[in-house]
Amino acid sequence: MATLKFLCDTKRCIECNGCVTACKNENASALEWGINRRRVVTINDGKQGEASISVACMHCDDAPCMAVCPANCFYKTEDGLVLHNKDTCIGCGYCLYACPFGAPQFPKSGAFGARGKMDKCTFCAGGPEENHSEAEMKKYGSNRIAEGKLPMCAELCATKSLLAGDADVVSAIFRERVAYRGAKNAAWG
Amino acid sequence: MKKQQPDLSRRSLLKTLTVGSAATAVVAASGISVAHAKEGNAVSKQNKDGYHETAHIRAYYNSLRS
Ligand code: SF4
Ligand code: SF4
Repeated sequence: MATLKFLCDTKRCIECNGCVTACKNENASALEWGINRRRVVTINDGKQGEASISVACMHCDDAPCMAVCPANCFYKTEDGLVLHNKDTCIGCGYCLYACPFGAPQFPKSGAFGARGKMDKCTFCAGGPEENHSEAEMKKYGSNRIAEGKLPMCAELCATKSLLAGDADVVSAIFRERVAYRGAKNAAWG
Repeated sequence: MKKQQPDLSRRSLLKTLTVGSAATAVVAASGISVAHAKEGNAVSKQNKDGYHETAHIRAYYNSLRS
């Protein structure tokens, strides 16, 4: 059985934000104003050693969000994806505090600053509703995994920097790249 | 769609912790209930529509190698 993962090859990332745009477009039916499930973080911007990385939910193996959620919203699929149920989410924000990547997002348009239902990257795998149902589209966006495809962000990455898929395949490809580059610091940094 | 039941054993942990004198015993017991709670986060959708290596995905993997 496959474990699905993202991996960002930072040596190739040019901070074009194509992945962010691809995600917004693919999941537009579910995204409230101001929500970005994915973003590109750049360090040393404009200086020597500049590097960019595309970050969203990393679908942790032992997910901290899942451990702290008081409403038990999260569940893990057989492919190792951490998904959640918006019907039971109470918008408390604990998952955001627990997540090392700041992946959980909250709608910003609520009255009195109330947090709405949490939203995060689903690896384009939808939610607990029936695949491709209207409810799933509205709450979670697309379900490309059920279509035999991978997340739109990775499939559209122009420099093939953002990789997604079976962790074994993705890490083998990355190792090949590092070996080909052959230099010191050829992986990250 | 399978709805997830909120896990009450976690919340009752907070109540039982206030009982006081039996605190250590409760902590030991709560460890067990938390472990059960984790198992409760079961897979809620069957994998028939889960990941499988389609021609589309193989083509994507090949594009990463070039
Ligand atoms: S939301 Fe954060 S803690 Fe939860 S699985 Fe994703 S990266 Fe991990
Ligand atoms: S915001 Fe929702 S998903 Fe996050 S911890 Fe609170 S109830 Fe759970």
